[in-house]
Amino acid sequence: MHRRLFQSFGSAAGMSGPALAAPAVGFLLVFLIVPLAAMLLYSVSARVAGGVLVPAFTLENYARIFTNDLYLRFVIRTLRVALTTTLLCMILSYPLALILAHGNRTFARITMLILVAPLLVNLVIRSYGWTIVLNTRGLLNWLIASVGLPVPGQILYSEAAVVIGCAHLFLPLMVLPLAAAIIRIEPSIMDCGRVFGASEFRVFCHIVLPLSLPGLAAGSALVFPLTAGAYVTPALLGGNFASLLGNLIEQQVVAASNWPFGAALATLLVAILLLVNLIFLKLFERKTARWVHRGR
Amino acid sequence: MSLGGAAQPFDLFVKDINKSFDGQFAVRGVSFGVRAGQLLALLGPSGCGKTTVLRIIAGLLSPDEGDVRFKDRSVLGTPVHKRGVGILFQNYALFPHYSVAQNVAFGLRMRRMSGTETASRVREALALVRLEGLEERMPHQLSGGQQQRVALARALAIKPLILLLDEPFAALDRKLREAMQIELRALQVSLQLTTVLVTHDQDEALTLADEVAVMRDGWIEQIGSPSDIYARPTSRFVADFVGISNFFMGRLMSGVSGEAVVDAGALQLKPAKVPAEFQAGSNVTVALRPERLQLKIVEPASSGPNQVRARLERVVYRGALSFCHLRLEDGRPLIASLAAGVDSTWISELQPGQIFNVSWDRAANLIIRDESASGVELD
Ligand SMILES: Nc1ncnc2c1ncn2[C@@H]1O[C@H](COP(=O)(O)OP(=O)(O)OP(=O)(O)O)[C@@H](O)[C@H]1O
Ligand SMILES: [Mg+2]
Repeated sequence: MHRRLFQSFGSAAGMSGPALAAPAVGFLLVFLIVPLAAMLLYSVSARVAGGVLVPAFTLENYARIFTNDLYLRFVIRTLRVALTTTLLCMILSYPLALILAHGNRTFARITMLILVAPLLVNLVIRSYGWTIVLNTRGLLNWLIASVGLPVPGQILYSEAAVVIGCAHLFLPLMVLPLAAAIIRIEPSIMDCGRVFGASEFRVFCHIVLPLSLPGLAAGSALVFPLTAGAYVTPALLGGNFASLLGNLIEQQVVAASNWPFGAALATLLVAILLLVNLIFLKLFERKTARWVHRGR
Repeated sequence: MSLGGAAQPFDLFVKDINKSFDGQFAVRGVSFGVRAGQLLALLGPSGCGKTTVLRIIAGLLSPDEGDVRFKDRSVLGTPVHKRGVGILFQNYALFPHYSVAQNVAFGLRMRRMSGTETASRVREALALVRLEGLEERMPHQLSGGQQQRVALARALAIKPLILLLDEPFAALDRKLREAMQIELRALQVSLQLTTVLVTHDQDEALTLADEVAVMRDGWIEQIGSPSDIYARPTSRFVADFVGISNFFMGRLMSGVSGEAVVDAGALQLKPAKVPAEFQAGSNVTVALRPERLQLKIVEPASSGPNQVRARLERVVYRGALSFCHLRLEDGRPLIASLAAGVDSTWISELQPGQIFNVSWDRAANLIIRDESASGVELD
């Protein structure tokens, strides 16, 4: 679509110096490091026994997560939903990003509009919208039935519903960095691939896909943690059958008033996401290391 | 047309192609043929449609009208990836995520060639462009000249039916460019590659090509051998774009002995021959190459056809050649060139303000087409 629009968030041109970094460092300190430290502290400084808060240094909150099947299942489900959502977003993103990057202008604009329109609608309202679609007698089942296919039954209140809802919500965060990466691919490189014998499909596999990996990495680094930390969408679309760690934390903190345990769960979530993202980015980096950091 | 080429069939034939973008013509009525193993240069200023023609041949664009034929078969229905041409883009367009060897192997992989054969072809192609030992480098680790050679090797590796080169040397410094031009020509001749070279550099076109097609505003202004184009330009555009020319406008007359003469005010030009399209009594333009002019200090000035008195204004020294900027008595400018070896005694003695008698032989007068002159009334 608009080359300049995408390129502008590619690099912050040559700004450097401690003075320039100070506000950002301060901001991170106050709004990220301090709360994280507080959360960590909370999780090890007390435990709830028989409904009574017992302040003391303890690792029992963590032990409780790993010794109880129920909590582990939340962790695994959360990772599974986040992974599925990320993969679904990757697959859906390519056609959309290709339209944004190389499609005709009007088409690209309409795609962009459809893509970002959901962001303008309140999260709760949107989730309720999906309940109408995914209901047993909802739009989706009606459509499936009307073309004569076997109806899969209830989609709402399942992991699938959560994945669909989260993918819808976070799709732009995958598509936009991907489109930015695709638009940066020199058109003559793709033309060259065609002339040297690559069909459109192979141009995609051998040129567009590898050269857009940095965009895919950026998108995944956004979608995965956001899905894993999602709270409203799984509550409304997953119900009791597919609620995620976020919902468990809410339940522990708000309903059970067990702040230390909630803090332990939250700390674990943050730690897992950090780890996953690190592994993830390392993998991408290894794939692209030979050509991405050309300038350095 | 080159002599002796008539027996060779056309490997590539472009027939009456038109192409417009948003209602604007980019290419109109372009036709040319390239015989097997020959190199045709498309020469023209920026924006005249050279790249468009090349992209149409490659299949990256389809013409609005006309035909593209490889070995006498129309390829308009053949998609890009099946045309079997090799291309070298102006910016080389190497695949940044592939090593040198992988870049060169790309076309072979797409043809599903076996691993061992691919490896030997890659080695062969890299040897041709003398890049052995750089197989594992990434494109960004290469100099401009090396990148260009990788791009050439990639095109050669597939043994293309037609080789298309879009300003392949534009990004190189002069020394490297000239070395690469000689290398490329040697390769092209030894491999008998049918080639179309796009360039806006007249020296490159004249050096490399068997035939030169001079393009202007989307059409071909003149097509012929390099010496044809230089020595016998048929239009003012070609005479001006290829080399340097002096232009004189005048009326074509039949002289006393029946010989044609162009009356251009203070000077009379007597051409060796007049193309049939020009009639006596019409206004014509005569082009004169600077190197055909001879300077003599003559006292007193003589008069007659194909000579004129002019005052030297300045000398521009260009190494092998020196350009003398002169002015006729009626104010018209004239440029003459002197060769360093031949005229060296002269060059050291030249003084601005000197009056010279400039003369030239009859064959130097080239009567050419000139749209800018039509409608101009001469007194
Ligand atoms: N995709 C396009 N859309 C619109 N106009 C185009 C397109 N491609 C080329 N043109 C126009 O067609 C004309 C010829 O372009 P082309 O690229 O063939 O020129 P060129 O001779 O290769 O010039 P240069 O020497 O600068 O590369 C130009 O006026 C250009 O603006
Ligand atoms: Mg061009």
